[in-house]
Amino acid sequence: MITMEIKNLSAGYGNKTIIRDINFSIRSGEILTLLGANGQGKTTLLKNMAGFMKPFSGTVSIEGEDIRKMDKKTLAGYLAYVPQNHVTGIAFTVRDMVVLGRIAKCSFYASPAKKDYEEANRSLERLGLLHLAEKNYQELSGGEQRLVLIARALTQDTKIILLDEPVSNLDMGNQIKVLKVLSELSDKGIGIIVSSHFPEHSLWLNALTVILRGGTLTDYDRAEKVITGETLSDLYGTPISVRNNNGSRYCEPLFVQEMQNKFKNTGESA
Amino acid sequence: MTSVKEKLIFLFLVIASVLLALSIGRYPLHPAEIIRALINPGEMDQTTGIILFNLRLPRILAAFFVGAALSLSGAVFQTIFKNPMVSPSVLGASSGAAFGAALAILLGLGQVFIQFFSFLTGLGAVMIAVLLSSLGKRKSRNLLLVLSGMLVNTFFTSLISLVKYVADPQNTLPTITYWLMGSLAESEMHKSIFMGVVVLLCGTLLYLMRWRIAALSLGEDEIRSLGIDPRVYRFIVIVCTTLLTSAAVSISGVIGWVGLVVPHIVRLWIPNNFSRMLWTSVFTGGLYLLLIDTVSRAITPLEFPLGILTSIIGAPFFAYFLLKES
Repeated sequence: MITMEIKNLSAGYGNKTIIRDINFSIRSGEILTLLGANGQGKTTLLKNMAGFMKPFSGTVSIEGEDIRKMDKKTLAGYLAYVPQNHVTGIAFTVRDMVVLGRIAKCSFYASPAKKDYEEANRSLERLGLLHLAEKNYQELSGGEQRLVLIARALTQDTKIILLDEPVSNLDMGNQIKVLKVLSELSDKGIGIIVSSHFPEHSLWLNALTVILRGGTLTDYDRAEKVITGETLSDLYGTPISVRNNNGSRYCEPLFVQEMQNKFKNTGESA
Repeated sequence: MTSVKEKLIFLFLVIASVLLALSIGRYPLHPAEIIRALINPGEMDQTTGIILFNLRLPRILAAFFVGAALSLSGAVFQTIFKNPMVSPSVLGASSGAAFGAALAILLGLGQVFIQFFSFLTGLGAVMIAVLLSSLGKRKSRNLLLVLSGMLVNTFFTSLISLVKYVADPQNTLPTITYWLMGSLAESEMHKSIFMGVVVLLCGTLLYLMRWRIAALSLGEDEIRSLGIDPRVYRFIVIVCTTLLTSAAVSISGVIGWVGLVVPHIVRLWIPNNFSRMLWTSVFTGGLYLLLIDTVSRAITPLEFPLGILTSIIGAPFFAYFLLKES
C-alpha cells in the first residue's frame, strides 16, 4: 500500500494563484473524487498531482518523496494519467494505444515486443475490450475511448490512476460502465483519483471527496458526510437537496420541484 | 512477415527503377547492356563508363536520397506537430538553406561552397526558430515552434529577395533563380555520397526511435505521464529532420511538394502502423523523385527545373489518390 500526500500546496499560472494551501492524502485502494464548480481549481490541482506543473509552494509526494524531484520514469511507475480531451497526430490501433503504457520501461530504440503486447492484451481483456484490439482508436465511441485509455493506465501498472473528468461527454450507460471499472480497480488495490462534475457519482462510489471552492479545500471526507444539500447548493450556486432512499443517495435540484409544480398547475387549469 | 515481403518488393522496385533510370537518357543503353557492364567492368567501353558512373549514377542516387530525405522529414514532422499540412520546411530549413546557396552564388563561390553555405544556413535557420520558441512558456511549445518557423521562413525569404535584388541581372540572378527552382543536373558522386550518408545516419536514428516518435503525437502532458520526456525526443527529431532537409536543399535546391504530399498519401495507404508508414515514406519519396527526374531527363534535352516538375506531374497524380482514398 502506498500513500500520496498533498501538503500546503499552492499553485497557479504566471503570478496568479489558483489553488491555495491544499492538504489531503490518499492511499492505494481508495477512490478520491475532486468536486468543484468550473474555474475553482480542480484542473490545476489535478495537474499538480500528476506532476505536470511546478507548484508555487508546498509538495505533492508519494511514499514521502516529492514527485517533482522524481525522474519521469519513477513517477510513471507510481502514477498513470487518463486525459480528458484526446487528439493524436497519427492513427493508433487500440492495441498500439494501450501498449504505450509500457514505453517508459523499454529502451530508447525499442519497439513494443511480444511481451509488451501480451501486457496490453491482458489489460484489454480485464476491461472486456479485447474484441476492439485491432480497431482504429479514433473510430471508437467516446465511452470506448475512455475505457481504452484506462486500459493503457492499467498497462502502465501503477498503484495510482489519475483521471480528468472520466465520464464527461459519455452517455449514462457508459458513465456507469466507467464507474464500475473504477470501483473494481480500487478493489484490486489501485488508488483512483477523479475530477468530476457529478456529486452523485461520489455518493454512489462512497468515495473520499475533496471539495474545492475559490481555490481552497473546504471539505474533505467520505462523500456521504461531505455531500449535503447545503454544500452542493453553495458550491454550484443553485438550490439542491440530497435525498436518501433506503441508503442510496441522489441529488435533486429545487428545479425538479418547480417543474413538478408547474406541470401540476397547468394540469389543473386545463 | 508481410512487412518483410513489402520491404523486398520495395527493394526490387528500387533496383528496377535504378536500372531503368540508368538506361534512359540522350544516349540510350539497353538494361541488359548495363547489367553486363556492371558484372564485367573491364569490357565496358569508356563512353558507356562515363555515362553510367560519372553522369547518371550520381544523379540517380541524389534523386533517390533527396526524395527519401524530404519524404521522411515530412512524415516525422506531420506526426510530431499533429498536423498533416506541415512540410519539412516548416521550421525554416529550406528557406535558410536556399538563402545560404543564393548568398554563395552572389559572392561567386564555387560548387562546394554553395553546398556548404547552404547546409549551414539551413541548420542555423532552424536553430533560430527553436531558440525563439524556447523563450516562450512550455504550455504551447508546439504552436510556438511552428510560429517561430513561419517567422524564420519569412525572414530568410526576404533575405533571398534581397540577394536577388542586388545580384547582377545578366548572369548571377539567373543562376540563383535556376538554382532555387531545384535541379539535380549538377550531381556529382561526392554530393550523392554525402546525401546518402546523411539519409542513412538520420534515417536509422529516426527509424530506431519510431515508437517514441509515434508517442510524440499525443498530448504534451500525456507523454510525460507515460514516463518519457517529450523535449528530449522532439529535439533529436528536429536535429535529424533539419540535417536531412538542409542536406537535400544544399545539393538539389528547393524541391517542394515531395515532403508534404508523399507522406500524406502514404498515410492514407497505411493509416495506423507508424513503423510501416515511416519506411514506406522513405522508399516512396525516393522512388517518386527518381521517377520525376528520369522523366525530366527523358522528355527534353533541356534541363527542366525539378521543383516545377514535381508539382506539375505530381498534382494530378496525387489528386487522384486523395479523391480515391477519401
